Amino acid sequence: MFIKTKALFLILQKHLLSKWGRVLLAQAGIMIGVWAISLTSSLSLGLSDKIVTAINSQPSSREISIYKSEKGDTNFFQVSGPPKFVFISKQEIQNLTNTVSGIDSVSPTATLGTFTKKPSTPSDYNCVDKSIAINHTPVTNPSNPTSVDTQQIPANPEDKKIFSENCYEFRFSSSSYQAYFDNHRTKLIGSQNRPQIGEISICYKCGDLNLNQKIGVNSPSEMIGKNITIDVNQTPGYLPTGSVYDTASRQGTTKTITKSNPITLKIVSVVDDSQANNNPFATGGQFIAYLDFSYYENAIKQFDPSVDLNKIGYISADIAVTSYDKLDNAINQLQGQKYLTLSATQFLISGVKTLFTVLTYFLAGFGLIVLISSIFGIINVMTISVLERRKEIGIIKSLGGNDNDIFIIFLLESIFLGIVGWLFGILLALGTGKIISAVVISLINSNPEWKGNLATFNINEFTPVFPWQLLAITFGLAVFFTSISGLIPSIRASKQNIVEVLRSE
Amino acid sequence: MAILITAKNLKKSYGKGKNTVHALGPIDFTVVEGSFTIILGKSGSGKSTLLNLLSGLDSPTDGTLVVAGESLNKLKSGKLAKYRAKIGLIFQFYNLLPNLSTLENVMISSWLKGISVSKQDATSLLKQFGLEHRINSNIKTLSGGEKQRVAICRSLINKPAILFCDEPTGALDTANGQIVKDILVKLNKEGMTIVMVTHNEEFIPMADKIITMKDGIIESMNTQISK
Repeated sequence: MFIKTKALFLILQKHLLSKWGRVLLAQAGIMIGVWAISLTSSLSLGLSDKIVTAINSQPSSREISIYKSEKGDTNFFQVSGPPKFVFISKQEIQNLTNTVSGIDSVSPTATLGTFTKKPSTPSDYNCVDKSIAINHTPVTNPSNPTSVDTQQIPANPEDKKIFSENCYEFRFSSSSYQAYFDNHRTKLIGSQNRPQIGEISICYKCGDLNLNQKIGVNSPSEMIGKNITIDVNQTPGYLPTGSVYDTASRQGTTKTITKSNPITLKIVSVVDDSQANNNPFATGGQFIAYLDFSYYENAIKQFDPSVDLNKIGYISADIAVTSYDKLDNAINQLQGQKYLTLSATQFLISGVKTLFTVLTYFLAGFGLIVLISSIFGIINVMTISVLERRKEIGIIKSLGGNDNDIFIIFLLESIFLGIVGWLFGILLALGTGKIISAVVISLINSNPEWKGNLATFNINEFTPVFPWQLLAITFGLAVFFTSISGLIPSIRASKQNIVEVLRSE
Repeated sequence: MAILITAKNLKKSYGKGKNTVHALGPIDFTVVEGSFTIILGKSGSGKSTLLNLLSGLDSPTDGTLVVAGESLNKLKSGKLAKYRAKIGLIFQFYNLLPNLSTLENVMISSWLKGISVSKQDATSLLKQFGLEHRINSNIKTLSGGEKQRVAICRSLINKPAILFCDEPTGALDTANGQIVKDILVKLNKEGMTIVMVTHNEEFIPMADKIITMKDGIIESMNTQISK
């Protein structure tokens, strides 16, 4: 068998060498098909991998929001209609640290406090120095004597100027503040510990609030140690544990405190939001401040002194896992405990993967069409080859070769075309992929705006990816299609009448 | 001498029904081992058809044909291929594989039969036929005489029981024809059974048996005892 195989390969090898020009022409269709499939897939995979890595590298990638659905739903995107959430006790939320592995921090979700700069906003003014509001406001709100009525803007131009420069709206983006803080604290300037009672972690500019100017500092580090007075005037969302919150009817969970409760806090850490590239919060650094959770509970107490804080429930909680690779496992465990989970990262990554999968399938479909089209080209080439080599077929048969030997020689020839086409296609895809990634990188790097927008995405690491699965699939496709193409000509070759073909010239 | 070929009521026809063409037969003859048989006849007499049947290139329509103990009339294509592997075949136009070298053309004959042959044996055979300087040459660069000698080497490499020749000198000039004739005579003297289709009457004196064909049947069959 080995000796005969050697003979068949020798015949094939000599033929292919003598007709290499035709081989190159015949494999072109396969080459283009493999090139298209490989190039699109490798670029998509490379880009997808890079985006997933970029998303994973964000601190928020470790975050999971949990809710408890009245229906027991566990996947946020499978909830049909307006959901009804069951309020979860603080104790239950905190117990998750012990029952779910991989949790770094867990905190209830709450909202707290606002003060405003805009005179048209019907809420109280707050200032870095509370005395400014008091000293420069001629008329106070009769129903809230310690705060400034929004309708009572200082009439004196000087007072008005001082007031507008020093008093501004500040809304605590305090939902899940502990989890956020734990996720982002490595990027904070100042202390990386959680702010204690009497301390606050705050943004440097806070967007167009220009808090740095209000405080009179020129760098985030100068802000550390300064005091800021804020007014806790809005309660967090809460209801007794077990209450049901209907998102459709929006049963009131947030109550505005009618009396002011100004507190002075020491700034212990700062989020440098002055430069987009340094901002650890992808959505922008406005209105970010972190307080000890006791302030939120104090606000509830302030609103209703009779409330039993042990019986308060929270609509949701935010959880940070220790690392991104713990995310899926933590989500599974939480869902196992019938919590409805929401992970923006998981959603984003699954979205990116879906997008690139669709893109890859679409573009690979083009390659597949080219491959299918190439079948006809190869059938033609092989048919010509059979006609040209009729005499050779007769000689091989006259020397003892049988129909199967002839069939194998021709089938191997068509498979060889597939292998050559695959090899050239992959090499071409490798080359063009590198060129495309180099062009994209240089294009993005040459445009400061694009570069800035992709600050968290290291475009320089974008390279086409050729996993072995891609190589195996394209190889399989190339060989499959060329085998199919070669089948009919090979059968035709094997059935040639020996006497007739030996007589032919 | 043992009988190597037996043909009884041998027929070959092509086509079906009204379009049937009777190309051969019925014919009867025998060939003994070690003999030199030549088949003479004009074009269309059926001599090449007969050689095709004897060499297993084609199958008889009817009758009995036994060569070297193998009944050819009932063999299917696979078995016929195995039969062809046991015999030697020389064609008028050499029928060498054009992309192979001289040596490869000789060796491929063994390999296709699944027989291992050493390069030394093939080289030695080519040297016996004066082709030592052409061993690695491309077959396309050889002269007609050289090509026919390579074809003879190819047919002999497996030491066949019988050698079938179809006009082996038909495409050669006188000098090269003479060389080939001498080789075949020498082979026969060494015991090789040879059946040859030819127009070349120079072979007649060397033949043990002369079969003359006409219109698909044997017109005459002469045996020469004192060759």
